[in-house]
Amino acid sequence: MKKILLLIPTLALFACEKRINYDIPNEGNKLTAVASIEAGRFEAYAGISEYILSADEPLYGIQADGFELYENGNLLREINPDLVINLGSNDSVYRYRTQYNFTPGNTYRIKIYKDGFNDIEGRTKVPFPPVIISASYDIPNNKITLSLQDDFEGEENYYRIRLFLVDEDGDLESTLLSTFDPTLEIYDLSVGDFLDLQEGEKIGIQAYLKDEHFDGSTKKITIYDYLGTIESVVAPLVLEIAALSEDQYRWEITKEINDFVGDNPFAEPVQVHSNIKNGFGILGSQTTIQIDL
Amino acid sequence: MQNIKLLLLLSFLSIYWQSSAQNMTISGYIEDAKSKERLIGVNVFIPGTTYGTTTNTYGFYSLTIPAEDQIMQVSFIGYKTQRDSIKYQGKNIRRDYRISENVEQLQEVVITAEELPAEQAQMSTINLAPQDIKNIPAFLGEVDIIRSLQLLPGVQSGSEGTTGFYVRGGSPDQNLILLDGVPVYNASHLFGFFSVFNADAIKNVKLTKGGFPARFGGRLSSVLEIDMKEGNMKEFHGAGSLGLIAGKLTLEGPIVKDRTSFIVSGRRTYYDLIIRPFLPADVDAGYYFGDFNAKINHIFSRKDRIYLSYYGGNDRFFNNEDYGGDDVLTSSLEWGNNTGSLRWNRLYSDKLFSNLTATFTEYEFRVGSEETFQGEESKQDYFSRIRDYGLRIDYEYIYNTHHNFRYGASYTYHIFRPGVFQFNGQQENSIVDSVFNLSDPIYSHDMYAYIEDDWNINEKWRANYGLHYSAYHVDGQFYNALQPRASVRYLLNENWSVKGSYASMTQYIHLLSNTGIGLPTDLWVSSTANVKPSNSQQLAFGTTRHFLGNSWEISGEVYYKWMDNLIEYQEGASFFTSSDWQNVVETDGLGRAYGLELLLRKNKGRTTGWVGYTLAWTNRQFENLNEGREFPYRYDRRNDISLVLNHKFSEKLDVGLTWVYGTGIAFTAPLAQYAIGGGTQNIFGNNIVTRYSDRNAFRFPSYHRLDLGINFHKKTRWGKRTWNFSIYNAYNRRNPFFLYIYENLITEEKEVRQVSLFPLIPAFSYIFKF
Repeated sequence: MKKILLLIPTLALFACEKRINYDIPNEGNKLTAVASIEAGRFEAYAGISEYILSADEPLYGIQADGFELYENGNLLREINPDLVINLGSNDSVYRYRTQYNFTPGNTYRIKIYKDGFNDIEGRTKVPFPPVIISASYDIPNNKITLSLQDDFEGEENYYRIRLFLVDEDGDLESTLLSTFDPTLEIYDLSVGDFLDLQEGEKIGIQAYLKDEHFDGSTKKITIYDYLGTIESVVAPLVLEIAALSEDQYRWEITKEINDFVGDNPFAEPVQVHSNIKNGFGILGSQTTIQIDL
Repeated sequence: MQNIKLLLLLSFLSIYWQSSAQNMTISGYIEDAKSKERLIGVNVFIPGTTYGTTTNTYGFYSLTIPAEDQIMQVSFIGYKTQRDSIKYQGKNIRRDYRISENVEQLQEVVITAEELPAEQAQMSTINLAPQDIKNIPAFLGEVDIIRSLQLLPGVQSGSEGTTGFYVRGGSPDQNLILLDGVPVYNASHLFGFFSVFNADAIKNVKLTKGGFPARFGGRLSSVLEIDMKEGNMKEFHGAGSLGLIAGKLTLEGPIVKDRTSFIVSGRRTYYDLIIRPFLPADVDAGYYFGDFNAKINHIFSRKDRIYLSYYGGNDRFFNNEDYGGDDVLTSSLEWGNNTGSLRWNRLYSDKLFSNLTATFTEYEFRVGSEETFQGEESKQDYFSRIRDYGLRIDYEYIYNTHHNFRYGASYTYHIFRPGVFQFNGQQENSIVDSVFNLSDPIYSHDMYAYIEDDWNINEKWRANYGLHYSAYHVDGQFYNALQPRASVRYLLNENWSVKGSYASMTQYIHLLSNTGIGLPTDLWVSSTANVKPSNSQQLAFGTTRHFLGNSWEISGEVYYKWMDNLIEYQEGASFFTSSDWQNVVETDGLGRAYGLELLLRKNKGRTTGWVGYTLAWTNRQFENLNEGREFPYRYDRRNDISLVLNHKFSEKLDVGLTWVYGTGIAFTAPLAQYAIGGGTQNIFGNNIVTRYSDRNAFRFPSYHRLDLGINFHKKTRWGKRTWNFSIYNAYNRRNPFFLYIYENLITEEKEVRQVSLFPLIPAFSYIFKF
């Protein structure tokens, strides 16, 4: 009896849930692309989106009818897919990959087409490699200091900084970095909860930087090997600085925030950045430098 | 600035010219004859002339008229009108009045007016008396001030059932809520379903939506002034009610007859007490909220009076579990306000009145738990808090019938603690005791000074103009703003006027909210070196006309408001983040709001009420939201209609009805999904990304609701009692609280589902007064 009485108010609330006929516009299935240019390599996957109320899953790694890569408006090559996972019919995963000496400053464009869908396009301008004036590692204080030279005053540039531990096999394993620099953006929003951070300290796997504070000039950046700080472990480190295209930058940060929000019904939805015309997804590019510390 | 100088020059020339004529000044206080409570907004005038004024917040008036014998009239809605013969005696005259309630008159008031709105220079202002609020059908039998305000044009409600209010496209933190002159930072109980103001302890409510006089500042969109009752100076009285969810009791009376009075009022919900017998023996859990108001006022002399007032209120969820033995878990979530003020009224002369106010206010949100388990103890606590100490001086100088000057200054010291997490634990071999400041405390100094003049230019023209200068010092950063204000009225005839106003406002503190619901977790934060103060400018034009013996009123206003330096959480950020709040906000936002408000109101007769209509647009623009494009604000509500009716059949029976309609709340709709690989969110190992519409491009289904109420009054040997029966949402409209995509895991079919909060809810309450 007690439980029934307790259930009454609860049921009253749940009884207020109902199906409604809400007209969410269906734009139809679209081709999608997740493509990147990095370190002389182009890699892409094509897919098909699904209407939000469709019972079907969106597809990823499909075989398109055609996949073209352009450089400064000229067709560079048509790319044929590799069969990465062979599960037969629609479940197989295809990848589009090619090696090429991509030139910083040049604009690259992809065009994907498939029968029954609108052609999709994306473009990116490959960033120039970041210019590192100096980098040093103060081992006792786990402090890494680098001096970064921004290129082309007046042009918006975007950077990403990561730190890697070198394990016994020589493989790179990303590790936490921290900083007190307010101009560094860290979006690993869940990482720092409940950690004993100092005043103004931020922590994450990667830090992003826009050149709005040092356009065309040099910026001194200080970061810390956070695990080294709290565990007093000294291991070889690799510092990675990447110059990102604007779309790559926006894609990465919005994807991280989107992951963080998850299914929280009260949070304001996060629009993952897309630069694919007539479809969804990304064509991004980055130029990376790694420095052994 | 050139224009302002010219205006000031003209004003002083006018003062010089007008003061050269021979005048006399009549001044004094006007009180309720029975309780000796001072009355706000009483009309004092010379019939047949344009000489007239109204009492201020402290019941004081001062009227300068030609030096000759005069007949003066004192009138106030619901009170008997008094006429007084004034004999000129060669000097200024001091005259206090005690006026009696007109008990034979039918309760006719829906909205009271200080003077006829058409006559006022100030526009965009509405007064509500407690009786007006009590006549409106109440949600769960609990009359609510803010819920009543939501029924007025230009004031919109938030999500279903909540008491957050949005004035002319502004957000809730842009409303300055003053309880006896003290800011209240969180005006909500139970996640916004009730406001913190106990109507039994309230004397007057006034909302200003635009055309702000210079004495107000610190917020962009509205000023809500709530005055507590002062306490009966003559006799001991009480009032109270018992409803479905809460009980209230108010006691008032003299401490020293005619010199010192008190009023105390308390309210508490008893849901936790009702469910306690039904809980398992080892669980002690529940929720309650309560309020306590107290006020003492003392008359030192005819010239000096002090008021000491306090408000405390809190909400508390708690859950205590006994694991057996010494093992126990206690957890709670609570939030609340404490405010206090000490005010000293001084009458320096027949023309100069002052009020010195010392204030204290704080709002705190706290969530914590304490556990003992198998010999190990741990305790964690998170809190955020804002606390203010303030001192303010206001002067009112009634120079003559044409000029009423107000000037003053204020200083407030703010202490912000936007997020503090404390943990301590004791294990077998170690003790941990840590305090983490998720954001650093911020200390700031907030100051302003103002001067304004209510200028009765001639029979047709009247203006209120002034300057408000504010300054803010935080973290070595100094901000200041000069904010001109002006309102002008032109009388087309004695019942019809047109008005215009301009107001510039600056706001130094902000509320960070990422849910749109108004949760107690929303953070009050300060402007800093990185987060600039917000500004707004508002232009409004309107007309008001009375007809059929002033029993009907029709008014219309159009407004255009633009705002800058707005802040908002970045997408996906929340109050409980590892970062300092300054790292997770979007700054430099722009806002635009414009619209039309219409009101048709009947103030007299057996049937009273109003129909209000608002047509409004409000948009926001941030560089990093919606790809930099302007988007509708969440509470951009195109059409808003409210109908309020009250009919008095007899002294024993009256009925009330409200019907509201509003365009659905704006939301961002999911449109499609695509896969991006490299994850594990679906069975194919792909991350699925949802593609959304433009921000707030879609609307919830429209909102509408009918509430009904009926009151049975009876006089008893000991006083008066009322049985109130009400029905909230009488036709059981399922209004949307939120929408989501439901997926049937078996059929894999998806559909849009709507969650609503309140179906038809009947309620009753028993109200007594002695």
